[in-house]
Amino acid sequence: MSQGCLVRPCFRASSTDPGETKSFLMEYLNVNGLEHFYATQRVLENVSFSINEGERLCLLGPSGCGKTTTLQVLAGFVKPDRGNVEIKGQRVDGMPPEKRNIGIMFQNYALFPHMSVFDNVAFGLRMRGVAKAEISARVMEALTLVRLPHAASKRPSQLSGGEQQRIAFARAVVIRPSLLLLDEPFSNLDARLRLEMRTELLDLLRTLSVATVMVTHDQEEAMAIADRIAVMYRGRIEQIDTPDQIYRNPASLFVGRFIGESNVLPATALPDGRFQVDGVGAITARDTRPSRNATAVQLMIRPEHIELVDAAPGGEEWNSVEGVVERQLFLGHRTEWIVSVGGLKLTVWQSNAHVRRQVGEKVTLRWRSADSIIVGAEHANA
Amino acid sequence: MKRMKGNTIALMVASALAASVAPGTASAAGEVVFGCWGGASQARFQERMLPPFEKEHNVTVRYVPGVSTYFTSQMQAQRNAPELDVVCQDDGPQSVARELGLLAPMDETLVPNLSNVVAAARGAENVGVGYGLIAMGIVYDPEALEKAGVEPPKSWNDLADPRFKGRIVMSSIDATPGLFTLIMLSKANGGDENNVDPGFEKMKEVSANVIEFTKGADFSQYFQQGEAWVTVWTNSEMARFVASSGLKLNFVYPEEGAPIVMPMLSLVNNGPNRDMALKLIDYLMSDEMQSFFARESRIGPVNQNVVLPADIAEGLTYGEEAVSKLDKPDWSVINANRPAWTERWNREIER
Amino acid sequence: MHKNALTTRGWLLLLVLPVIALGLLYVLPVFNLVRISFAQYDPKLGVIPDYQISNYVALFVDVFYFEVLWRTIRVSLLVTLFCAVLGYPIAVYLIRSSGWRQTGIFIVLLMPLVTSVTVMSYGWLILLGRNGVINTIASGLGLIDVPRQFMYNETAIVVGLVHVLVVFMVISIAASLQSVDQTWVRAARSLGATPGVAFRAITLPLSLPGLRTGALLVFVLSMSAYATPTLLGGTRFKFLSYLVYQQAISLYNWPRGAAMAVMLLIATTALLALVSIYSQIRTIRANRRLREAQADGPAQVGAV
Repeated sequence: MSQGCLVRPCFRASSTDPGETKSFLMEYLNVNGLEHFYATQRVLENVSFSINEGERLCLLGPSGCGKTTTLQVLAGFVKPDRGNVEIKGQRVDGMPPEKRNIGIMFQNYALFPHMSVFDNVAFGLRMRGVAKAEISARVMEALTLVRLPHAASKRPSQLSGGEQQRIAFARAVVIRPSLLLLDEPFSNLDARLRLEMRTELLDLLRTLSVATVMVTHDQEEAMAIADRIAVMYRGRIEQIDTPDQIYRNPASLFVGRFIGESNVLPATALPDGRFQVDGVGAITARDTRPSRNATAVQLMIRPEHIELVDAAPGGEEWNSVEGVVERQLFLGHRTEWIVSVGGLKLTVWQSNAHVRRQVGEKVTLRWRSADSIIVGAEHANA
Repeated sequence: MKRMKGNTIALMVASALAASVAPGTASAAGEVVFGCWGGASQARFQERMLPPFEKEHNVTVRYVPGVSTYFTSQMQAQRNAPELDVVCQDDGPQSVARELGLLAPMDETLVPNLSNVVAAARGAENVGVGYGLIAMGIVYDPEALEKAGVEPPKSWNDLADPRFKGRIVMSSIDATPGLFTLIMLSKANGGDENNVDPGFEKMKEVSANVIEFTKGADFSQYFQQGEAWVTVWTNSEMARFVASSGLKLNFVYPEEGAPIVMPMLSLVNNGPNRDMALKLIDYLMSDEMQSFFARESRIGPVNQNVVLPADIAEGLTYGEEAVSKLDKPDWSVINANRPAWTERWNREIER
Repeated sequence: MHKNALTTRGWLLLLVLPVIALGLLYVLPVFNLVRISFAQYDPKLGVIPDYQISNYVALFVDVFYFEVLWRTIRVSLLVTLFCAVLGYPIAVYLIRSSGWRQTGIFIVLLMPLVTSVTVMSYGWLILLGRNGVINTIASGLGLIDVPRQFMYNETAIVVGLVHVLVVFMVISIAASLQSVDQTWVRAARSLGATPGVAFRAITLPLSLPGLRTGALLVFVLSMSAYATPTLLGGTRFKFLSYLVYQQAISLYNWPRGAAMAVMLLIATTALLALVSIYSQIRTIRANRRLREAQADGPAQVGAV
């Protein structure tokens, strides 16, 4: 999953990582300090990030987090109140959309309904004054790339949703854009097709190796497609990192909750470095907070990291607590238990578990210290 | 499907029948049905003129408002079972109804007051009677003419004089002023209703002076906006306009004569309440009602017994001299030739 | 099968009311009009049910009638053109505005429809007459020495009809503009189209159905207009509707008037059919060209 980061350096958003200086970076796309207001409401707050040539970045977050506005700023449809955008070292924020050479795949595909598929794909090339013979060759090349060369004379309305998406993709890349923007690319597809298209789109993006910014609210899509993910919340980038890091080391309670499932327990930092959870006891945990001044913290454990065992194992690296099974759900590929521990309820997942427990049965839960993460309490209200 | 079609047709027929019957159910006893003008006239009739009659004869006058041509077509539609008893119509449409055999004759034995009516107001073949005298003549704006240093018109032929170029407004042949201008121009140049060629020749010259031929006969806005100086209008309509607008206009009885325009009362052929209908007509021709018409509707009395004070008489067609200048157009000839004249007018005059 | 028959009957029953309404309100009157147009008129007897084609023969040999018909068509086409040219920007402005401003535009556009024609023609006289506002201003500025007559000509008819009918054009264009998704325009912009080019390539063609509907409405309403042309153009510049009125109302000749009305109906329908056929042929041709181009292979597409 983190292959993008293995082959090239990982860049962090300056807002979340003040340690690195911008001048050091050799980015392809540079977004610096975007601020934007709709009326008096701030929708973007110091949004900065960079991506490398051929890299795929995903802006992930709930609706209203500012990801779409960021995309509009990149495309040139929204002029930010502050901040700038550079592509290959050239400022583009003053340019109208038609001058930016950015390919966009819109959420609803936005295929021109009154034009054939051929004319849709050829549109950008005609705008660029490309010679007729070349237009025809490049359009057919793009249609072949998306495996729809036979659809050239059809109207968009004659195509299925998946086919329309492929045409929209062909139209966006045929102009050889400096940057590709994908706006919620899978939201208009049904669940089965979504998985299929996800793989297909990833293959296409890898083939073309074009710098891509994708916007989505679906963490699975983001993880599948992106080299790096920027998690946005309330107009800010909460964390920007590889999918793997975001999942393992959420930088904030919001990120931890938004990405995957989590058990979140309020805790207090103890002088010995451990953390006291009321009704549970002292827990050893990994503390990733930048500043460790606060004593009131949140402790996060993923349900799949908790094991259901008969007896408490020894060892420093393990935390173990006693609890009572409240509920047991067999979900096929996994079993879910809700276990009551000192008034708190913990969710526990185990894959391929053949074990069955009785409701009301006493059980022991254990997890590795490294799997319990301390995040600041400042976003506890999230 | 076939059955539905049958039902649909039956329904259509039924509603058509209902529609034709709806306007009036059979007239009730102690009633007389009077078709006459709507608007202010209707109010005047219903509130002030008809109540004494209803009281005296213990009868209800059912008032059906409408215009002349409407009554002609109503009577034609009800030819076999008339619902109207008495109708008010202008003399033109009245003559059409008479020729279609929709109206019945009446004489002094049936309507005693007819003996007091001036000859000009008596209907042809004793069908109908004019209940007021209105003259069609030339109307001009004296201030505008004086300002421009232009002599007022005296005759029909004056309308063709270049001094009125672009200053005359006139109705189309569809309305009476245009029609009568054509006939009077014929008479002024050696023709008559049976020979309108001289009229058309002269009318072409007049046309060069005409700003606009209007569809109807309402010229008020042309005088209010100062567009027109001269028109052909009735003294009655002019008097009403002068009274309401405060503008000063003069009426001229042209040298060649002024055609008479009459609102007429007619007895409907085979109407349901013949006796009361005749009484109603007689009542409206009485000295008292004729004075009322003169005072309130500004039309000259047809009853010779009526004597008007000078201030009421001012502007009305009243008195020996005015009546002597009246010219009575032959509506039979007009009706027969009007379609042909209209086509000719369309092609030769209004182009 | 039985169940089907039942639902079919239910369906037919549902149709009964609209069919009756259409029959009573449209088919029956038109049928009656056509029937009367073949009858004869006699001044002594009125309308006689003696059905012949003489009314039509009389019209066909009448140059004057065709002159008026041609004027009606010519002016209506001009009115349609001006309504389109004027209505399009208004429609664009209308859908871009909201709240009170939008309501205000609507009120201004609908005003002529709720004002009596007589009042409106007086208004035009005050504006365009020889002692009217325009003449007063023009002579005040020294542009003209003698007041000019702006009323009672074909131009006045066009101005008056555009004033009354432009609202139909605006509403139908606005409706179709509303259905033009702004992301199409954005897509075009992102592909390199300037705002102007995006308008011509995307917004304009996609709003054409509205323009077509508007043109159809305006043309039909203009062809059958009566009061406005008569009051503003005067009787010298007759519309066909005036001749119909003259025959039917002034001269009591319903059959002749009906024949004229039927001819007007046929002329209007025929013109609309011609336009429709022309656009059908164009679409078919365009599709065929595209198919041929595809069949010839991609290399040929560029050459076409």
